[in-house]
Amino acid sequence: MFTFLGRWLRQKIKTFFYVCGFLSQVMKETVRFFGKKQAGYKVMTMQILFTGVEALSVVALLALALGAVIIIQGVSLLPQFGQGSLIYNILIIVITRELGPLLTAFIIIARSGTAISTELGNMVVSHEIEAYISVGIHPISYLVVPRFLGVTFSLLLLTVYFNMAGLIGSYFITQLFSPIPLREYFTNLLYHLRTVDIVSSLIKSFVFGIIISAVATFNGFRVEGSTTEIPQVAIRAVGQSLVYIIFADAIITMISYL
Amino acid sequence: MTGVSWTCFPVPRMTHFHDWKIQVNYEAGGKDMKFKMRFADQIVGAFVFLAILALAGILILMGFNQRWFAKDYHYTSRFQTASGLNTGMAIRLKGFQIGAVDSISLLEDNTVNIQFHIYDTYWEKVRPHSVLDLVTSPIGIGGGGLILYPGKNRGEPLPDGSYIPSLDFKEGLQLVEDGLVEMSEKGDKITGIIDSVGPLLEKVDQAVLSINGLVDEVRGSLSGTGSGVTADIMRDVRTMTGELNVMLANTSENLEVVLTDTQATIGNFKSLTEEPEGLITTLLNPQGSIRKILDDDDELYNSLNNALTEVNKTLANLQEITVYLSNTTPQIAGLLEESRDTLDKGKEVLEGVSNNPLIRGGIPEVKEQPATFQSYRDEEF
Repeated sequence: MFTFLGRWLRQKIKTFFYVCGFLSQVMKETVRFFGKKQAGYKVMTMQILFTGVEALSVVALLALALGAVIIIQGVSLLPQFGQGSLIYNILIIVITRELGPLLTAFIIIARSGTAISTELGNMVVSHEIEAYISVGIHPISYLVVPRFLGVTFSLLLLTVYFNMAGLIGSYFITQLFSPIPLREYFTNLLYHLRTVDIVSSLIKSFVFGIIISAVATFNGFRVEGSTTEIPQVAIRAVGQSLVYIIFADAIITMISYL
Repeated sequence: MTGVSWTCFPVPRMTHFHDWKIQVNYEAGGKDMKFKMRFADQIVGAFVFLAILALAGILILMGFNQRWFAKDYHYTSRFQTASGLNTGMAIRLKGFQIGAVDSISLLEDNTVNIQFHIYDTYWEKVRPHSVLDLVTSPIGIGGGGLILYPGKNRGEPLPDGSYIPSLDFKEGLQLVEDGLVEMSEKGDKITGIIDSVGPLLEKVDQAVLSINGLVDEVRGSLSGTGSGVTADIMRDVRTMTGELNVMLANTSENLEVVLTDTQATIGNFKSLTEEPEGLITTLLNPQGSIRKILDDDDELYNSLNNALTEVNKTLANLQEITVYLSNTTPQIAGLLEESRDTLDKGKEVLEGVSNNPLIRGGIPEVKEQPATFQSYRDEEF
């Protein structure tokens, strides 16, 4: 019993320090990344292309549907209580502050988190990492940092697009069911939209991007040498990312209301 | 624990590194993928640029809408209580929002100080002798707010940072009493009440006119001269009443004859009951036949009782016979059936004898005739 507990604790402490070492390396290399012109830029561009641009259609569709549903439900329900103007607050809170960053993060986890873990795991199995090291290429600098930055930037940009589609695009969808005057809608929306809403949304997406990319790359490198470990680390990356971003979301929301 | 150990490696500067591996892998994805690979930088650039543009656009529009770039004029005022006041509360003039409350604080003399701003577009309305009034809804829901009543002084607007008195204090009330404040008609409560009496009286007048019209209509309907269902009913009632009068006149004549006959019958009955030789008197006479018949030491009763007992016995016998007959009815029916068959056979024999070949042409062929009657024994169960 004590042996088991002691081994478990020792393992946890070792993992914790390993994670700290990994993250510090990532941060250090990220800072250095912008100071030098290197091939990592191309990798980062490709990462933004696959994580950001290719996920745009899914994110936009989700935001349009969500925004339209909120407007239709709000327009039909809230005026019955004399609180018709609350629709704008609800729309901003749901789309911009809460579900925008969160749903975008979920999509990125599903699309890119698993892809990154699998890709890096495969590279470990096929000894590509050792090959990079042998020719003097730092694996974190070349493999992790571009993905880390690419996913984080993509999530930031996708959140902006999610907000645009959810707040503006959904208006045009709503016109098909319950028309609202264009001027009235946008004037009220812009009146109720506060800077803190946008900043909160961007901070959340930035933090979520960091979490997703760090967890995905970390788990990708945890593969020891067997191909059977690759799906396991991919699943673990998804689970951990979901848990961490939900915790982060709760913390940021609480801080923003302090 | 892991396949890679994280030690610091010197990273070479690769200014012209060609990522051939990614290129080769992605080229396998078809034309669309080739296009994306070829124009990856442009696509990503456009993606980033549009997002930044959208964000900037939203922020600029928000700024215009929320007056980030407009100049506001700040003023202060005092109130007796902060109840009903809150930060961000709108300041209105004739229903238009002309500013908002920035902050509320409690002063040393326990009065409430508020700082507020007026939009530059309405700054010229903040003339000297302007006052503020906190209006609260009597039912507590909506309708309240801070209202600015501009002064009648046509001088320059009050400068930034000026003090505007409120109607919570004498200085504000004094300005109103002196007629220096341009109070809106609806601002004065009494005037408001008086104003509201006019429309109310008009509504009452309309109601009275409506009632008059209704009364006329009811009157016409009741007299049957008007139109509508009620008038029709009244006309029908009138016709029915006339017909009923005629019917009653005819009936009354017949009724007189009936009454005369009834009276005569009652007279006869009366004489029958009251006269000394009447039927009832005779029947009730102690020396009469009925008395004699009944007072015979139960002889009549015993005789009747015996007769009834005998009748009862006869009925019992009759019942037994009936039961016996009902039980023997199937046997009788069967017997009758057999008798019928026997008679048929006898008839055939007689006919055979009469058609004897020695005498005539022999026994004729008999055609089977199914019996219409069916006995209980022939029934199929």
